[in-house]
Amino acid sequence: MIEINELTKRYEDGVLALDHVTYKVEQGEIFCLLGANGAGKTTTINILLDFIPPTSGHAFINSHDCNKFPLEAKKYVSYVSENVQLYGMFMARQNLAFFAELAGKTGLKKKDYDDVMRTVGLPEKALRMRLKNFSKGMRQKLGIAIALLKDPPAILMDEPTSGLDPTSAHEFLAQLQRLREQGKAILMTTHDIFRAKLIADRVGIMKQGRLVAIRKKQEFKHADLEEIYMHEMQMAESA
Amino acid sequence: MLKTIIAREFLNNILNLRFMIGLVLCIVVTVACIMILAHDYRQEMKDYNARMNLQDEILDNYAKADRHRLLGMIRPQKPPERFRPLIIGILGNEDLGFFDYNPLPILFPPLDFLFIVTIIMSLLAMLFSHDAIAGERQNGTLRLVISNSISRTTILFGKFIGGTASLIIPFILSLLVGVLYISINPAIQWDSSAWVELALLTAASITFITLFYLLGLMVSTFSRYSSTSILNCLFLWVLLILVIPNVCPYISAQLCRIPSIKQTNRRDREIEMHSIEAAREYMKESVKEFKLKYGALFSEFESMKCGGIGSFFVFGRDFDPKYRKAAQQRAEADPKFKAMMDAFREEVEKARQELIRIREESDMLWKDLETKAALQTKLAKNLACISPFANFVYVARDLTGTGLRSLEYLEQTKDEYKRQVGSYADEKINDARKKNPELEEESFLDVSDRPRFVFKEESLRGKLNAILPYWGILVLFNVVFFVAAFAGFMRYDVR
Repeated sequence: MIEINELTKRYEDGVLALDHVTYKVEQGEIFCLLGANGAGKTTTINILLDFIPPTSGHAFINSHDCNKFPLEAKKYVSYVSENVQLYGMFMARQNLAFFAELAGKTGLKKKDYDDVMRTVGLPEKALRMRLKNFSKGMRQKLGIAIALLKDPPAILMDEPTSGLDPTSAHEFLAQLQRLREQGKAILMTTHDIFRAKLIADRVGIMKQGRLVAIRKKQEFKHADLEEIYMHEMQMAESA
Repeated sequence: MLKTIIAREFLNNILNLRFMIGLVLCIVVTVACIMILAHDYRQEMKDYNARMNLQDEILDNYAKADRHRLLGMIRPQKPPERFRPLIIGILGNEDLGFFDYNPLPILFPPLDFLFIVTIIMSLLAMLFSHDAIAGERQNGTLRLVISNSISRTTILFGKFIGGTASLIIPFILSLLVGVLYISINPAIQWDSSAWVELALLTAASITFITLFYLLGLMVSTFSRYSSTSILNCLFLWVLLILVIPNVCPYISAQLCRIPSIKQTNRRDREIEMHSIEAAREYMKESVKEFKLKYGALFSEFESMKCGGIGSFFVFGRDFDPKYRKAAQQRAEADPKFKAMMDAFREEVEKARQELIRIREESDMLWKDLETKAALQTKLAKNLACISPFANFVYVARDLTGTGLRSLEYLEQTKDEYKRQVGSYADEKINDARKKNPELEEESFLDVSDRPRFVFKEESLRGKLNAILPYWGILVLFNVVFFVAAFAGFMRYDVR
């Protein structure tokens, strides 16, 4: 569903943000990208969403080249950012309706909004609340709700648990679980090794633009993922 | 998709505090300024009617059979411009003056429709659009919008249409309130052409307002932060609204230099003095010759105060009426006296021609100044076209008959009327002379059937021909700013 092929990005200032990175995220899979700041995790997402062009290589969503046919590719993907920012003067329902319409979902009924709010763990009355009164956790949940309303086969999440309190983070992981069960391909970047271990089917470890390792669930399920991560980082350093 | 973006942009703007501030400001300022200007209009109308009545009274009682004086008494009176309740015009009538002189408006000029559009609405437009892109990038909403399958072109169009629509609302609402006031005010009588002009003025104003919205949008697509965007917008606003239109006359004055009025006046006086001196010298010589040639006969002529001194004739005066008869009788009785008088008249005519010849130089001087001044004004006007402000002012003023063009038009109609009155006066005086050969210049002349000056607005077609190029430039500015905004947004880094 999500395919990264020899993807390279060098910025104008010469910084190599991605260096021939290749991997795939299949349907019903959660792929967590781990790495320090500047490792190239967000750059990958930016290229997938056509915010920036790659220097070389290709990124595909549902077999559509994200750089050549971005509008086609973006039909099959939703994006949840680290800090979901919506229109503060709008009520939650207006925000949901706006982004759903952008995703081509028109004519949604009250029941659809109530359902999605329930699914993400937000009270129905929050639909009538202005976004400026939402906490960060509530905004993240609403971000998920927007992604759910679009109902795409792939979801990109850029450090979605950052800044969430433990309860919200727990609920968020439960939500991800459900999305995986629905067959969504989820690419999530995170610093949170603990939660990555809990939810990921595979993890990719990135360092200075390179994907230094990919580990399957079986490999870290009963091991200490942090140790694996540190080991891979040291190996990459010495290489 | 476009509809969704438009609706969101529109809703987002009208929920914003700046919309409410803009709406209240527009309505308050528009209503206040229309009320004040309508009051001034009534005052000027009263003033105009008073002047008309006064002129009628004077002409009905004191019109003389003297062409020069009669033409001086029949002066075309222009009524206040019909758009006076909306726009303060350039005063086109030298007779126009308030009976109740109030110096305060000089210190604090009253606001008008042009001020509302060019200052308030243009600032409001930039306030609405400066953060349309940069602000959304800063908030993070732009990433989320662009992560959907929607083209940047659609987003930009949607923002433009939605943003402009939300901006036009305060303007249209306040204008409607003003129009309502005008339509129910019995002192203001507008015909259908005035309403058509108002509709066109509204359309031109919207073109101007969208131009500044697009300018703000363009700046926004080249800025990372709304704070830098608003600063850049203010800089451009000052440049386009205040600097360029005010600097252009100076540039034009440097490029096309003309002598000052003072210098020209001084030179004119010099020429006049020279012409008088030349005519006097000529007549002095002639008088000397006549004294030698005719002796006592010429002294007798001089004693009749006709010749007094020859220069007396040169400056447009003739025999004193009470001596004219005596001189004529003397000439009829004595052919020698008549021959001398005719010869002297010829000399006077020669001196007069010499004086006219010298004074032609003075006419040339003023004509030259007029031509150069017109050229300078035209150059300044064309230079100022690089500012949208100037183009809008030309459109608004020429359309409503409150600008430079209306002055030229007024002068043309006045000249036409003066020609008409001139022929009327000639005909009237000739008829009166035929009826009464003894008619004196001081005699009363009945001019109750004189042609009246009725100021007619220029045709809409004529006005449209004049304003379309400037309106076209405003549209061109819109296109240029949109294309620039488009180019900026296509390359815009949404991260």
